[in-house]
Amino acid sequence: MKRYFLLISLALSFLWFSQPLLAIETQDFESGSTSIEEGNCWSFEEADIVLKSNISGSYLCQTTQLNGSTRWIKTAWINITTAGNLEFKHRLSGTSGSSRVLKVYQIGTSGSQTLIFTHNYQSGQYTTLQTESVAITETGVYQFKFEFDGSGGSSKGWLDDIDMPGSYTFDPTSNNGSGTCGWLNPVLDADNDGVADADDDYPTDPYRAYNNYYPAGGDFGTLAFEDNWPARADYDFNDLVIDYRMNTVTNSSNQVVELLSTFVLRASGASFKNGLGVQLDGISPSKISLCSGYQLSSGTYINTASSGLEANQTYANCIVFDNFQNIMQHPGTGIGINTDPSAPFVPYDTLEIALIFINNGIVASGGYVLDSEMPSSAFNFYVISKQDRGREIHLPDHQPTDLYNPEFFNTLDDDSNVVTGKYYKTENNLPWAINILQGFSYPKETEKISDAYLHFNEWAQSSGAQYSDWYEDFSGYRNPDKIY
Amino acid sequence: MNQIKLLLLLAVMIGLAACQKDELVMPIPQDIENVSTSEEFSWSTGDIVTFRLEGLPSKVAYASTLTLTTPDGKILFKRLHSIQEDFSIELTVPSIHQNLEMTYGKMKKSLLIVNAVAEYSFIPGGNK
Repeated sequence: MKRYFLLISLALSFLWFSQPLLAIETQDFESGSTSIEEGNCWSFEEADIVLKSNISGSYLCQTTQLNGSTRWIKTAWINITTAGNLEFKHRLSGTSGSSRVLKVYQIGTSGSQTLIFTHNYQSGQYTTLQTESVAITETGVYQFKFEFDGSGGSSKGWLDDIDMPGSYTFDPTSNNGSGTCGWLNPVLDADNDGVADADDDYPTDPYRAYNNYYPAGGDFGTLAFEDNWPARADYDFNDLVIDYRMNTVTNSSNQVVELLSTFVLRASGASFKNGLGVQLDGISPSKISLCSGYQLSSGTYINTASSGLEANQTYANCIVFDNFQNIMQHPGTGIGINTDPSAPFVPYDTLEIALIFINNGIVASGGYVLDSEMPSSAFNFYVISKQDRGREIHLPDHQPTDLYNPEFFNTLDDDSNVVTGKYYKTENNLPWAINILQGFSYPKETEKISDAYLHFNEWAQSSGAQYSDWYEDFSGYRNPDKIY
Repeated sequence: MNQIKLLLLLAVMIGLAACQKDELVMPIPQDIENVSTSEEFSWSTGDIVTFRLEGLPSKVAYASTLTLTTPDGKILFKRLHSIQEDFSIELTVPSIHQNLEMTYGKMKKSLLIVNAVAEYSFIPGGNK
């Protein structure tokens, strides 16, 4: 007996699992919002989702009064792979009206409409709840349109609890704003990471998906520093000139995989030996497994951890180099490197820094970092002046690292205020560093930037409101004699 | 008589114009050392702009690449974004631009930057 029971159970199981799974999409209008359902590619003509519990739940879909013109509700696109039933409930809101009818159409991608159901409301049964089940035998991509019609009286059509025999396949990004959308087409995704090959910067690498450049488009920006802080500068902004490009590589989960930075060393009009660092504000060093590509002198004053990041910092710090003059040699004559046109030009040097957050899918010990947690505003660049680790010079209003020496603040011309977040500015809010996203031809030695760029002062005095393109090479914008 | 009226009218108009408050024009210092700026000025040719996205409540998991570019076509940011998800990020946008361009699947929108914020809602009617 037990054996027969087992055999029957097995046979039933086989029959059950050999049936194709029937997908069903349900619309009960419980979002309570016509706009939301329009966003989900449902469309409504003279119909709205209203707060009424007369069919089920709290909401149903209601037409306006049926007085001679049709009102309809159209579903989003459904991919029907197996024959099934379209089920729904309907009734009218009241008893008035000389005639009332509900028709349901099946609409194909070609636009063809097939009438699949008709219900003529009989007098005396207008408000009787009707539960319908309509066999759908055609497979493919379809919409269903519920069309109410009638004349006379004030009763409205009510519709709720629609079950559709298929899966949604609409493209909400093709929405015309009132629920009319296209259907989804399959996309190529070679690495199967969810990002279409056409959008994927790494179409065959499941661990990487996107390049996010700062500045935009992969251009190089320029950082131009004055290194005499906290003493007032000579404002030639060439004591350290570095071009930079940051590329935050993310995966399809929008986690940072790596930060690839390119630094082009261009000029140093300084007599001081200066280094360059970048802090990732808000990012713990434990979130990065490796920092590589930096250049530190033997016997350096920088203390690095095993990851290559600087040790003893709350936020991740990578010291790109500790002494510019160890990388680009002074040409032997003139002041500085590449700031005096009478001295030989020293070819630029480039450093490629890689910070690894996720290595072949393995996240660093401190966990992953989301794209929104490390925006470009987290890149906090600074000079370390005179090989004195505590003498950091940051872009204006960027906080110092844990290793700064607070004794320099509010000495000489510095007017930093830790409480208000004012950093590295004078009393008049003049800076020791500027950031030009578009790149920058810097002034010659001792030439003030305002003499080289003729609208610089207007830009500054207006706090950026005027001449936001002051760095351009437009007529009347530059004095080329002052520019290196 | 008409000439007198005309002269009177002219005199009144000149008088009114003279009473208009002169715009306060701050002289631009020749020397950068005399420049004074607001404490908020960043000394960067880019502005920090907050991009905000309101997701669409949906039973369907639809995701596509969200791309933000400058009006001249330079890509600022990309991510795989679920249409259901609210999202916010700070971007550094060159100060010369007043708009962000958003692409999401087949959707293309130009978003005006107002008070350092650019925003969009996937809910129809949710955009100002």
